[in-house]
Amino acid sequence: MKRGRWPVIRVLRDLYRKPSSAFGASIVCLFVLLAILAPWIAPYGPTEQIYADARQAPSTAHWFGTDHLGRDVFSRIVYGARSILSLTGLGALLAVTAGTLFGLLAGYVGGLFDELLMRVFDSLLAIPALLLALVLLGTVGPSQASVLAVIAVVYTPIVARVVRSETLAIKSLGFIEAARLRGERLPWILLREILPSVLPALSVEAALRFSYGIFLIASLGFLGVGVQPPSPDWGLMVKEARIYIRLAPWSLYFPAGAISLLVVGVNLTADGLKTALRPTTESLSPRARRRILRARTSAGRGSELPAENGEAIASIEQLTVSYFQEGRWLDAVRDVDLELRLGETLGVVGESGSGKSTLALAFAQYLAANGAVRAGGIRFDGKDLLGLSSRELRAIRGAEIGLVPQDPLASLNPSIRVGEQIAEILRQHGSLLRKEARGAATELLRSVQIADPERVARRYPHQLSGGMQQRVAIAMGLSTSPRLLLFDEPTTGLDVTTEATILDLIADLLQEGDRSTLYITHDLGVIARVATDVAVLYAGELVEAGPTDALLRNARHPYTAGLLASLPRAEARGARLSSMEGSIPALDAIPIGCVFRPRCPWAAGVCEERPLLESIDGGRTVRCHRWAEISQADWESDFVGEAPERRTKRQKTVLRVEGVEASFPISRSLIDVVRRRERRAVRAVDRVSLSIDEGGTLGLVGESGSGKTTLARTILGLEPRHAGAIHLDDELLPPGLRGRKRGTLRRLQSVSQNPDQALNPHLSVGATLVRPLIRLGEVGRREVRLRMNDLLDRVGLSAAYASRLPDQLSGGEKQRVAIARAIAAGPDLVLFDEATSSLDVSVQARILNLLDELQSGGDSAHLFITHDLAVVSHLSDDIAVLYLGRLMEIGSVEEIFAPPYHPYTEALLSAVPTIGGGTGREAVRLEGEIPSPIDRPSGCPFHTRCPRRIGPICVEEIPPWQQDESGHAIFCHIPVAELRGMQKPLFEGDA
Amino acid sequence: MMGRLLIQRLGFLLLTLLLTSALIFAATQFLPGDVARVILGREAGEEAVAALREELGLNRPAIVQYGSWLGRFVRGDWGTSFGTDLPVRPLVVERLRNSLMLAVVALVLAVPLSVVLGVWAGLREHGIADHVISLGSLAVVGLPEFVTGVLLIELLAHRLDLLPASSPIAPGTGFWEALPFLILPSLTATFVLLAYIARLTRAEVAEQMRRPYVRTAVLKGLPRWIVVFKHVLRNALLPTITVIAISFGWLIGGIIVIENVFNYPGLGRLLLFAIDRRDFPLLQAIAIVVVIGVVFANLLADILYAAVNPRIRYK
Repeated sequence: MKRGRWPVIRVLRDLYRKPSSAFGASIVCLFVLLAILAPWIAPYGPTEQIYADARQAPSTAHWFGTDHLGRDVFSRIVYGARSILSLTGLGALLAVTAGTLFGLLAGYVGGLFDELLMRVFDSLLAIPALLLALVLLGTVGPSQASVLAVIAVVYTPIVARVVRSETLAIKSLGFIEAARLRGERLPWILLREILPSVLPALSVEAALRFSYGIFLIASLGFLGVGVQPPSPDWGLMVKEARIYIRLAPWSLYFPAGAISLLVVGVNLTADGLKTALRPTTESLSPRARRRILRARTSAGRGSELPAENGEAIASIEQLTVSYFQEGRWLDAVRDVDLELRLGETLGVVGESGSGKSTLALAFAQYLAANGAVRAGGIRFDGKDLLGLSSRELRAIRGAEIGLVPQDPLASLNPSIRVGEQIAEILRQHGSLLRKEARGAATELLRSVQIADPERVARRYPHQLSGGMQQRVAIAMGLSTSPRLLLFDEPTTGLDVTTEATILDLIADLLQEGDRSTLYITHDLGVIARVATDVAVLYAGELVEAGPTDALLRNARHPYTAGLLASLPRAEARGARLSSMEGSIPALDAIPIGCVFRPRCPWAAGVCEERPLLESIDGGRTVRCHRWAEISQADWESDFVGEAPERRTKRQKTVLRVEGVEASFPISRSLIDVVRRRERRAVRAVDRVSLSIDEGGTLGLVGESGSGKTTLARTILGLEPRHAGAIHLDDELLPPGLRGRKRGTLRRLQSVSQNPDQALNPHLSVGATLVRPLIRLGEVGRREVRLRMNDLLDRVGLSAAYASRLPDQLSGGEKQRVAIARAIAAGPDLVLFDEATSSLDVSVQARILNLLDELQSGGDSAHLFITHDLAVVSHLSDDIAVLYLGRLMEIGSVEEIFAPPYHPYTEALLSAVPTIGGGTGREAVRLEGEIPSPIDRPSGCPFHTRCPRRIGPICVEEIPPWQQDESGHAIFCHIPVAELRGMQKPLFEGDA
Repeated sequence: MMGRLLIQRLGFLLLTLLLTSALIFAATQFLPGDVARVILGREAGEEAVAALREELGLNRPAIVQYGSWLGRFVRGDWGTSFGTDLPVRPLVVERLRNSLMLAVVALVLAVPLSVVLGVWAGLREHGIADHVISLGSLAVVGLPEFVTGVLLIELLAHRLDLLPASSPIAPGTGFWEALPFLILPSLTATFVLLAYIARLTRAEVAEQMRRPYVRTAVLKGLPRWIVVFKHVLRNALLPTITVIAISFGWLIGGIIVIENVFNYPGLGRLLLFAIDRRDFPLLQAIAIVVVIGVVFANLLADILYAAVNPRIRYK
């Protein structure tokens, strides 16, 4: 959803698009108008008694009749609107203002202030609102002022709670940390950085408070403790009219109706605001529903499927899958043909937006609510899947088509034991008895190499590690020996070493059995490992397909070639990566003709016509007009530009980290305090020493939980606790941000992992970049515009980007802006925390190239944190390997990538999936998962998983640092010479 | 794990009670200005006021007053009502019993019905049933209890003559005897509860239906009823426990109003009496009793939630 310049107008438009909220908002507007114009609209004064007309029925003179005292009911209602709206509005305003301030402070500052304030507020919240209001009014006596005060007191804690929890969610995001790193003051951070992001939730909350406020005031009026007679209060009017319900029912029904209408109106508006401000699922109009349903039922019917290929178990023919959005169809998959033969594993590879997941979901017949197959067919086992009834589909799902999902934790039911989750499929499809199914489930767990299947079967998903969860999911997919197995990115999100073992398992499983497999992934390395055939998707179209080896060795389509060239590879370090221009087109902006044309270096006139999928030699197909003209050699030279010259290293150290420790105290419960249990701490970083030279790049690698991010945050000053010393040049850095001067802050900047959280969504790119220039760069107002454009230029963005909001940028562009912000004031050291890991390969390649360029141009040093060894190998001069907060090995890239390796480094390197060249190398795999830092192993922290463990010495003694003259150091008991003797080089040319 | 949780929650509960009682005490003791003056009225002589102030211990420091008040309250000495000159405790306990009867009947009516409606709407997100239930509940939430109450009386008692219009239950009336008088008031309370619980249940069910584990279950080839009852509801109804506990606080607010609509002799009516007479000991006792009820309802929900949620049970 794109955000315009005027969010208020957008929200109003959305509000009026939905009939219910349009109705609600109109009612509220009507009452507000009545209230404002009361003296002109009301024919009589609110307390004006027309005695002769007592209890008169509605008539032209008195539209709503008169009450028992002969007062005009309509006039009283109009003035009543004025009274209740101003009271509630003012009360809600007070509550929202106070609540917002308290909530922002409590959430951001935290600590004791937060603790105390929230205890008091929680206690206030434990008293039902009406009771609290009555107690307060009962003691101070009823009056308008006290009602107002009561509303404010009753609702402030609720607003504060909402704002606080929103603040907590925002405060650790990248853009807030960036603000702290440039030393912004508290009011700026609260009001400029946090408040705008809190506003959506706050306005919904304000609307709700307004509605409850009306409810409350009316109730108080009815109880006789609110606004006092003869004021025209609606609640009071109902109370007074009750006795005369027989004689003058109108004097009761009209005020009662007014209250109900207004509250309903506010509620409907609040409900509409909620959906307008935080769009969840797009709610489909009945008309859209009908269109989708029609599309779903018409596809597959009547379309003649071509005669079945003998070998194919499943096939897709001319498949087009679309999503219905904002009144039109967007085609996520267009005209795709695929064939799955027996015993074959077809890898479908593509970047995000390529349509690969849609393809898998179409196979499983589980598209999103607004999705439909609009053309073509899916054939499985001779049947057209699209034509099946839901009963027939059920018989196939699980039994003959199995799915191994991405993100196993979310894909397993959190409240059912994993054994049962497997057993239920067996009972459903294999008609096994409960006990038999349980036994079979255990056996299945054993078959996916789970050591203790009986115990694991009784566990809930959250009790298992990520790797184990994925094994369970695989066992589930395999349970009924389906003839078609779908893998949807099953190793994405796992650590490298875990991914390696899971891929081993999958590769093993795929060897056996007479089934065919569809394997969806974005990772070409994974494809090379598991797939026999590959299909490359780009922007919803199949651009190239063929046998894996041939296709990866000799790509025919420019996109495949570009993708391969943008992959950083450990075996080809230092080479400049490909830089495919542009990015995958959005679904509503698919180019006419060849979809890849705008990004293709060989695009020609002919490409304006849509190329057909051509069959070429070796069972391969390609969708390109010019594939035959362009030879492989040409492609590589065209994609791979000149590598910028590496600057000669200056031997001046920028950053020196010495024996740094960072730990987090584990919070003690009251019981622990009473039992005087010692306060324990998790040591996330343990005695780490390293240094970075001026203009150099140090790569810091490790799995999740290795403490690499904590180390970075400790250096930056975002984690205040540490032992040891950190020097920036000769300056000893104080532990937290507070003690650091502006000059120091300028020299140390960072780029964080998630581009979506890196930028303040409410500030334009220009505003984001101007701030560090002014605060840290001390650039004058006059010059700032110039410098900002210069910055944009340096990160490869045009000056037009200055006025855009982050929502209007792609992930790669956001990360460029984040980089520009970090380098704005000319820092000496920039820390990159997994800065490219959430980006697509082709986007990542361009960012990595950008970093290369920046470093050759300026003289800031980089600390690059990543789990991806290929990426660090590409960027770094030196590499440090971290495990459980301890350094395992440190040295130059050449030294790290050649034996002798630290056993952990060896395992990490061996786990990197490679494309070609890596075959036949020794697979070093790690057992289990990284232990929790709470239970740090004794001796060498790596001994519990080390494949080269030599004996009790590893358990009992902390290993020595073995360092050679050049500075390469290994933290291991095994003598370096011995390590060299037992290890083979894992990458060619690294002997 | 559970034992630890229980102790922790009990600790919080005591802390909350301590704080709320302090708040209530402060509000009723110090906000009105001079309590002695309030009791004796404007015309009373300075000396009489001073004497009463001394007698009530109002000259002591605030914290001492609170401490001794709390000590007496815990021991069961809730003081004497200014308005009736009767001891507060029996008065409150009798009315509490009546209010609880009302609350229980309302919950029994509202909870099953609202959960069923909520689940139904949630399973058909954006469908017709969902729209009807969602908008209907949104509208019903907007009707204050005194409006629904008055309308129900007019319709069911006066026009159709099905049920008694007011509920003057004599002290000591048994539950079954009182039941006919309970139906109309609890029906009124049900309306708001129904809408509130149904809306939140619907949101939770709809949210759970979008979770990847539901896709897994469907793609296992399980029939829809198994997917819904075994997979979805198990997770979706967990938060409903908390929702019901929260709605208990709502219910109390509603009951205060409803009792006054139906002349029902419960805590709500007593509360208004106390306010009317500026009867602070009575006011304090009622407020504390209600807060204790709310806090314990929350505790119960917390424990129940933890007991049925494996993610907390096996942490």
